[in-house]
Amino acid sequence: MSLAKDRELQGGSPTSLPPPVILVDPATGLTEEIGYFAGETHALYGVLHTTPGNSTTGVVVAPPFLMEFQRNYRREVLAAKALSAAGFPTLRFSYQGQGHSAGHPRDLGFDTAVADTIAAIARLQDRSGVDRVVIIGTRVATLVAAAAARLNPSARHVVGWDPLAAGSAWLRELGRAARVQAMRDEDTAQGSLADQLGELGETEVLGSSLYPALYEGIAGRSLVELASDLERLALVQFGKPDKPKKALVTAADELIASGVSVDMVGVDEEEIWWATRRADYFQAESDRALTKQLVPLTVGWVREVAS
Amino acid sequence: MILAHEPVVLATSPGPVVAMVTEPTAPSVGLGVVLLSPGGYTISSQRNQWGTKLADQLSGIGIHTIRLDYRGIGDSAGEIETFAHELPFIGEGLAAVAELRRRGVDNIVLIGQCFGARTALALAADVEGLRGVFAISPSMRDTGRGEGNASKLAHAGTIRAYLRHAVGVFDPRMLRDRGARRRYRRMAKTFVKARLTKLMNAVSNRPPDATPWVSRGLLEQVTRLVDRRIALVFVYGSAEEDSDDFAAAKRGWFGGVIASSQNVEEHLLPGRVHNLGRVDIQDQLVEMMVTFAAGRAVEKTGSVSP
Repeated sequence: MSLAKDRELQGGSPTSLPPPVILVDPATGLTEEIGYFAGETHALYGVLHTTPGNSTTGVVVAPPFLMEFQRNYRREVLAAKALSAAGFPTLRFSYQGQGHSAGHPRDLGFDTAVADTIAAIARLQDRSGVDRVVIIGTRVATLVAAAAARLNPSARHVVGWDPLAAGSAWLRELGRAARVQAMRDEDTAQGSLADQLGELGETEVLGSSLYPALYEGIAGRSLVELASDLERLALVQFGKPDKPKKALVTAADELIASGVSVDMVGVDEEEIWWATRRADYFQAESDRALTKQLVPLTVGWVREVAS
Repeated sequence: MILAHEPVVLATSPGPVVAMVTEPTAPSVGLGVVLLSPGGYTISSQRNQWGTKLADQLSGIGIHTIRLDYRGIGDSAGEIETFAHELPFIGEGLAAVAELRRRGVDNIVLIGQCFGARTALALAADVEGLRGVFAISPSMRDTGRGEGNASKLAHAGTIRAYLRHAVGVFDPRMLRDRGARRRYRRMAKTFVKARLTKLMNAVSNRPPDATPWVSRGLLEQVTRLVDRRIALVFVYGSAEEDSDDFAAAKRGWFGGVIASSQNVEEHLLPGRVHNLGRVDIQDQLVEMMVTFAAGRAVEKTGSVSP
């Protein structure tokens, strides 16, 4: 899939995109190129982290959706800084309709997220010259990462942070979060998310708009279906590392049977994805035990893949 | 279609911070909005992109917007140490104002949410050409997150109740965390200060201040804005402790200050507005912010693009 060089993009044509700003850390030599690049249909916001003497392996970070996007953002920044410090150029970006990227959330779906991830891979390769790309996906974006890897031969390795084995599992979590919100707001009219999307064409989960494109696009997806062509997959479970989730173990077994090398790893700490009033809300992300374990683990895995 | 958003890096004393400037797509009216986020991990596009939506709408009526990620948040460099209401990030806010001035914008509106609202009120004194401040759920107290109950008990409860609360919330494991250590120190300081004030009042036979917990700094900041006849909006949600504090604060000196002004508006919306945790609240507040900024533009130019 090529960049939309000749077409008008929503939110700016490739030629009208503002130039990126460059942030250089004089102490480390790490460079961040902050700006927009051309996605398949929209201008996408992204930050490319590089360092002198880059390797031939780079990393693209595919973010999660809705509230999880905000919650994970700084962790992705810290991981990108650590990966680039280890010599791996890393591109973080936002899908269309999310964060600073152009587009309306109504148009954000599974397929557009995959297309945006592929555009991000192309951007990373174009700017850094890497020939091999590892994709990090968080939560249901592990499925996005796997789907993007299927469509791009240079991306054969995926890391899933707190992954889900199926899109339906994520949608069940959303449903629970929406019910909690309804109870909190004493809203008795709340039906299921599917019902609301069918009736109204949109709904919300804890202040994040949810539209049919995302809901329906994710509903039938599974890790086994999407990751079966990968060379190697790391599934990093958050919390209870000694008790891997049954659905993940089953998926891993099936993938191993189909020839994928799967690493099931875990970190001690859990993430509470759908709560805002929490003790560590104001804690620096770099001080959080979860991030302290997760970032070096991820860098180590990418280093292994690259070698 | 032209992309109106442009990332910039602002040089500030804690280090470079990343901001997003949105240029007007309609002829500029020479007014710019600085959007200041709440504390926590919120990035400047805000939950559900309401910050981006606000900037887009303002852009359409000729108003610039700048939104920034505080130090250690989002794409900005550095590490966050604390979000304390009496230690707002004035340097970052002023750097955002300077960026708008560099682009030829002389008239400024500050919009902030919670910690961002306290930052807006604190930096207002240093902003020339200030046209208005829109404050969403600013705390009346000088506390950090999670310190509200301790502050209330320090001022109004018994020593026994305070100690019972302190024992209840104290977790020795959290002493490993520098943020938690700082929070415990601040809560102890608040307690000692409140008790000393009570003691001094008793010794000197002074009538007690009905609202000793209202931030002195905040009171001074609002007084200065009222004296300058700056348009000032306070928005709270009816189901929030901050709105109870605001109502109580109006029974003290703070109430006298805002009652003396024709330029202060108060809005109490149903439910919670504090973290803009519902889409309908986001939409309502964005509309209010656009109306407020457009009103300041009209004051300046006599008209604003539709």
